[in-house]
Amino acid sequence: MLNLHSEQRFIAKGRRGKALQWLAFVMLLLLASMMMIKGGYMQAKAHFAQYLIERAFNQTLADNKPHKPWSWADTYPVAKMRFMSAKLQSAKHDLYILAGMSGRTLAFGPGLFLGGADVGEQGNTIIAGHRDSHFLRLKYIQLGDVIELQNTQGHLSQYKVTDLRVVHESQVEEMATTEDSRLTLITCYPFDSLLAEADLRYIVEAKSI
Amino acid sequence: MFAKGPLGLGLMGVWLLVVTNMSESSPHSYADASRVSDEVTQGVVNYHINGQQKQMLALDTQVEMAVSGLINRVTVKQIFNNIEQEWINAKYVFPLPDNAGVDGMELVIGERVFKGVIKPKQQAKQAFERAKQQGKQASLVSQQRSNIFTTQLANIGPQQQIVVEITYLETVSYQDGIFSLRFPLVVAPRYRPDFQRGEFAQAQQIVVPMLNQTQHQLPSHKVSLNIHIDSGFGLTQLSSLYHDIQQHNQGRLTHVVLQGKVPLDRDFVLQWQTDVGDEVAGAIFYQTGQTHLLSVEDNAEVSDDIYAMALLLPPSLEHKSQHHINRELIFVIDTSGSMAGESIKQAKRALDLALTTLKPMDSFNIIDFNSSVQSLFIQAQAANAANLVKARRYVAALDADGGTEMAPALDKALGSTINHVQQQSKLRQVIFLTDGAVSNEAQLFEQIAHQLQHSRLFTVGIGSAPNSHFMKRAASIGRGTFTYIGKSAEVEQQMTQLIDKISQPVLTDVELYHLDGSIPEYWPANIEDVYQRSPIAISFKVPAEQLQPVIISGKINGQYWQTQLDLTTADAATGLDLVWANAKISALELSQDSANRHRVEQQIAALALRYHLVSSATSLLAVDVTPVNAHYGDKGEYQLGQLVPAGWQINTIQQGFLPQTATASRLWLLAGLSLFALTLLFGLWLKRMLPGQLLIIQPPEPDNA
Repeated sequence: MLNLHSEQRFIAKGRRGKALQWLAFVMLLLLASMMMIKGGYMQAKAHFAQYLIERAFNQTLADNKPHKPWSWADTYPVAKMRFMSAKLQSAKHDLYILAGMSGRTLAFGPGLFLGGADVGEQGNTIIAGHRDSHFLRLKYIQLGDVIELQNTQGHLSQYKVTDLRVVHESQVEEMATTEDSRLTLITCYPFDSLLAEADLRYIVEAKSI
Repeated sequence: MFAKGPLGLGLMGVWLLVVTNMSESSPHSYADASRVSDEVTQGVVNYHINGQQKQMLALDTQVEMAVSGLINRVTVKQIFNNIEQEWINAKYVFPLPDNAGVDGMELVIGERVFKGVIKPKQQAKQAFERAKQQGKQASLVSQQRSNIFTTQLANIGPQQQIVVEITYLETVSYQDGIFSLRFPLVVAPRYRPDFQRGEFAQAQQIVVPMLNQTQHQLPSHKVSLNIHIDSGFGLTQLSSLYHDIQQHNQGRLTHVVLQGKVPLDRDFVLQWQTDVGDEVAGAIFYQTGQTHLLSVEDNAEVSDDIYAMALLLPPSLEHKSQHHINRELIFVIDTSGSMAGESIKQAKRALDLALTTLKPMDSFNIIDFNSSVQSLFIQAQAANAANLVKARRYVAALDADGGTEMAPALDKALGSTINHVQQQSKLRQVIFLTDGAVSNEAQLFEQIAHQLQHSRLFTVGIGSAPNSHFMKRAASIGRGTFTYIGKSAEVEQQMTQLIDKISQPVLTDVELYHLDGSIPEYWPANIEDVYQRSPIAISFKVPAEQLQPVIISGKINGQYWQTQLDLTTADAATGLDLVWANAKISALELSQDSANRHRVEQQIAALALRYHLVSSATSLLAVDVTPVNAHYGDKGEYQLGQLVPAGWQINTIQQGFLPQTATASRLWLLAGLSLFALTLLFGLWLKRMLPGQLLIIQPPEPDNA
């Protein structure tokens, strides 16, 4: 009697437990999908925004006026970057550069520092990008590679990579103006890190040729 | 659950391990340069011998200081002895006070003499490259930052004496009516030269030979300090916080002496107050000719120009009742898309903080702009409780999105002054919080200059890499100041400082001219206002033949005020030409834009070379000037390492941090995927479809039935 009772209780408990387990399963599934969507959204944004930016840049080339890639944007394309490197040769590695370096701008494309020299201008042209999307390709840059920038007037300037180095985020002298005409690309380091925070920056220094 | 638990934990463990390993790997590759400043507490010589890192303390330190108003000209001479029996290469390190710049140095190693000369950067760089090829890389890269003077001392013979003499200029600190200056004397218990990363990374034990000899008594060495103070006014309450001093007064001049064996557990700190009345007080200093003589070929045109400095001090606090000034504070906050994220949070916190400091008689308004301009009130309103609640709610609801249309916002903040001309008594202060990501800079500068009238524009730079050149120049045109907030931890301190400072303006619209109405050359063209917490010094240049009194005028609470200062009553000071040239260089740097960049750079280089200053276009190099009869072969220019005093170079270097260039997208993806896989496993287990489950779990069932 007592034995049977406890057995029923055990079965009932088992059923309730089962339902709870399924609930946990659904919750976990939801959580997992949310995490993936969050990460995927960032990557997708970075990837597909480039197409809209390309369109805006081509418009700019045609009429020489700044065009926003989408109506609510706080930025506009200022240049097109092409890598002439053994590992990054094809045109699919082209990048469209936006004005400004805020976190929101960088989510859509590499940003040009507005306090520095303009694209193709004498001085230090500084462009920063995310290590996990646009500027992941900097990993494959080698000394002597050529980077070509096209500004909004369609003028092309070429830079030859002269130095690759890792600096601390406090070394802001990387962003100082220079007498020669150079391009400084900044991204976070190390490339394989998964985190959003980083103390180190990878600097690609290229001089005008 | 049993199946999932351990497996899940195991996977999580692996995943955590990966992440932590990655984050840990970064600090090793870079030694934090900022730590050096904590460790270097006085001038020492560091060297490396037999795998050990050692440090020499000076046998004798002689310091000469000449204080004129807010400027302190310091000459430090330190003598060291190489107690080793071998030849060594060493490094001299000296912690400079903040805001100091080295302009001269001389090294004597045995019989060799090295002298600091100013060279154009290009030339210095070439010397750099040469040194680099000779394998002296460490000295080239390591000293780019932090306020530490470092120079290489090469080939020091056994028992040889080293004499280092450096001259620098610093600003005396002023707070609540008390001036103070500090000279580093503390010996750090242990010293870790992190900047020599890699090379000496394994040095575990640090030996301090001088300290070991005097182990049983307090470390001490011979120190003599000779300080001449000309504060511009009578001195009251001169005191040294930790050391016994002798003082002699002679009119406006005070001479302070500290001599003999001095305990090395405290820095030397000297404080004084001046006898200022209940009104703004002015004093003047002057100097004839330049501090650094030009090189031989230019000697013909040595001029006797007079470099003068006028000092304006706010009234002392005890004399003055806190007068109530009716202020109108306009906060302008940039809510464009570029501010999204951390920046807008910081800006909102700064704004909240500023609101708490408002007094009931102040009136205020908040303007926010992105693609369009909105404001809290149509006109500025009294800062009463009800309005403040409204304001707080308004700020909380702000969100960053859209474009950056700064011109209409400036127009709203400054333009409405025109309607207020009749109520002159109100002081308008516009506090502008932005990251400065604008493209039409030139147009905005023009607008500010045109619309400013009686307002003052204070720019507050927010975010990791704000366009500080734009904001500095905007503040300079707007006769205000630029404040930079880099991290959220700094919001409170920086904002409170700014608000405190500007809450008590004492003298505004300052102008300086000669008795005959002509205007001497001073920089920048707009003289700052005098606030209760910040006195100002205006340095200017007068041709020798035009020596005549100067008049300084301004407004105190809307009332006209002027004072006449006579140069002939002033005592001679030193280093004023450097202060003047530095102010001119800063002003030139600020005026730089893409059109005139090259020309301005040439002007800066010419000025810096002429006055022997470190600037954006020049650097200080060590040159071997040993007399020819000395029996050492290596003549000519000798690269000892670059001397980069920070402080004076701040104008040319971007503030803050390099931009943040990473997202956690891959982390989210990876975490999501792992969790997804685990969840699937869990689901399979629930369905009892995992291999093995059928065999183990099902057999008991017939028993139960």
